Amino acid sequence: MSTGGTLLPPGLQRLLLLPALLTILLFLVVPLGFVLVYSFLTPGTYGGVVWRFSTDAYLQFLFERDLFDDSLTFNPAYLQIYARSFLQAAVATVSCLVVGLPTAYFIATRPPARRQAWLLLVTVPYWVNLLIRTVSMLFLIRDEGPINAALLALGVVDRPLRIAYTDFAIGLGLFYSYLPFMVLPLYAAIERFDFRLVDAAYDLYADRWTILRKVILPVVRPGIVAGCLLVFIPSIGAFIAPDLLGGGRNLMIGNLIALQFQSSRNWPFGSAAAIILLTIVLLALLLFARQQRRLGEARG
Amino acid sequence: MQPRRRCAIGIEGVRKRFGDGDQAVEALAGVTLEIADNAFFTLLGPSGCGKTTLLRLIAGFEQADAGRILLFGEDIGGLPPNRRPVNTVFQHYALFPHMTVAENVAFGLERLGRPRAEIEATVRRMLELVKLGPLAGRRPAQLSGGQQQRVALARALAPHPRVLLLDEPLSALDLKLRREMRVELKQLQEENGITFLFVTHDQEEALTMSDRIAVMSEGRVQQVGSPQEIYDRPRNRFVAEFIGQGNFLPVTIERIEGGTALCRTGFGARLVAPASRELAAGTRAILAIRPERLRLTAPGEAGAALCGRIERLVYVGSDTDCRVRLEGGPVVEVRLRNAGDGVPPAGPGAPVGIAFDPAAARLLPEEG
Ligand SMILES: Nc1ncnc2c1ncn2[C@@H]1O[C@H](COP(=O)(O)OP(=O)(O)O)[C@@H](O)[C@H]1O
Ligand SMILES: [Mg+2]
Repeated sequence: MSTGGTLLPPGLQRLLLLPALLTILLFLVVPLGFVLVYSFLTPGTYGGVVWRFSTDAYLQFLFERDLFDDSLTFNPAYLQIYARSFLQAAVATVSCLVVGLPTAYFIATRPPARRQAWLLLVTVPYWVNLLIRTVSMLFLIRDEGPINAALLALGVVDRPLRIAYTDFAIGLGLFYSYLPFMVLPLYAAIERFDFRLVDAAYDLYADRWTILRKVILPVVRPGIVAGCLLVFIPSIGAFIAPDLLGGGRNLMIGNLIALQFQSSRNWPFGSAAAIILLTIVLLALLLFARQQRRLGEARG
Repeated sequence: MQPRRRCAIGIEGVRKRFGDGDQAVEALAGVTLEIADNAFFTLLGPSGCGKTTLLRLIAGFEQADAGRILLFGEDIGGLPPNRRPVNTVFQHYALFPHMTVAENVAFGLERLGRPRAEIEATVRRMLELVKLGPLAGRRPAQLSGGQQQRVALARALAPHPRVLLLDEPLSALDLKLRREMRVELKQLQEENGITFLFVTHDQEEALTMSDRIAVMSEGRVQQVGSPQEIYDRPRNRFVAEFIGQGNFLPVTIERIEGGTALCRTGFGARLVAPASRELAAGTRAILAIRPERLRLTAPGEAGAALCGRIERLVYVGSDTDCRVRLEGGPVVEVRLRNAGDGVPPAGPGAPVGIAFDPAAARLLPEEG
């Protein structure tokens, strides 16, 4: 049985994968190796690294080293940055889900000819560079921006509403940046959903709420999971939104890492921060996959 | 005649139209039916005649534009599907893909809030009934078409509905399985004492399973009756043509004597058929007769009503289909049993006579 087609003999079929493999090796595995190695080295005075092994970067993540007696005291500042990033990403994911689900449902239930047009509209933001979009958002929400001008003119507020440079602004930015990542997989799942199942459940004495909970959501769950991952993962490491909209005051992981390679000139610490983020994401994915499998087994 | 039974479903002047303006489709153009309790009742008609629409109205998925639907005498028009004590076996089964066979069957019982132990017992009994006990833990995707069909059946039967609606449940199965399932379905219906309203476009299915058949076309009921009545005494040309095969000869009724009409064809043959109340002497009509009711005789034999020449013989196993071109007239089909009795048909071109029992012929109104 041939499933790969007869275009190439079986021996040559792996060649199809070669360009992608080389790209990943060159641009992902090799740099990641550097990052991993750098995180165990000593920072150079003007950036870069000194090739001397050290675990200081990881210690620095949790502890502060006393300049005089070299003792370590617990410092939660960086943990807080991670916790804030996690929270921001979680809020962005949930907001995207809440807004994306009805949107995707609406598009998927239009006549097939019109769905393409709606999908195209969903991707419109990507025609503009993310940086430009984020800066425009800043112009909208800053104290002198049109939103505050309108609120002032209408007399809703008597001082400009503080939106820019807050955690809320960061959340708004993340939500807006990644909403299409939620809508598209949800759309794909709902579009494939067989709505005759709704009739079947309705016929078998289920009310609307039960149909949603017991039939629609479980069947489209792979789409929900894909959407959540696609929003959560880039959100937790996001750089542009927190940098521009948060005004660099409330750091997120992305800013922390960028800082280390720029003004702080502590490449090992920046590398360690990146490795820690990567580990957290991988662990979360692993736990998630394991739970999915267990759920599948419990059912099957 | 069957004894008069309680009416399970009453359909009174039901109309349903989809869309509006130029694109409006009249799916049901005034349907009135009475379906007796415990009956195996079949809606038979070509694709697009409104069968599914009628089922969906009874199940509650659509609202009628006019007319009433009664369930055991009670108007159920206002109830949503989840409050109607009827269940449906859907055309493409619509099994829940994320649930096991057992979970699918338990779904309705759980919604009704039955106790756990009762649900488990019922599910087990249902799966045994459809011979799927060992597959209780499988997912629908791991089942064959026939097995999925049985799960759909068990799922719809489990809450013990008063009426089971079946929308072409066998159409996706292969012929052999379809034949087996016909017998099983009929048995299930008789053993469970549930009214089955069965939809099909397959006349053989309808004839073999049903207590009564309603033949539909273009949103209207053309005839209601037992399988024999529908087959032997079709009321119009549509019914006669849709069920089984037929020869249709245009005739003029010359005289009516007692219960017998003397007719004359356009090509000069004289035929006799039972008179019909609606058709007076002097009117034009269609004389319908089934191919298997015709016999071949020696040419010019006394009993032969028609004569012609054999045009083609088609062997179909148990029978031979014989096309005969009548002298100065159309072609008729004669179906001969291959049982070795009777005159073996000669080859193409041979002159033959055709005889039939006048009681087997039907006079139908001229239009369709
Ligand atoms: N939801 C609908 N919207 C528009 N037209 C419909 C709808 N459902 C059925 N129809 C039309 O009504 C007619 C009857 O359809 P249906 O009841 O499905 O026929 P059947 O089941 O006998 O094949 C068809 O012409 C069909 O196109
Ligand atoms: Mg149909």
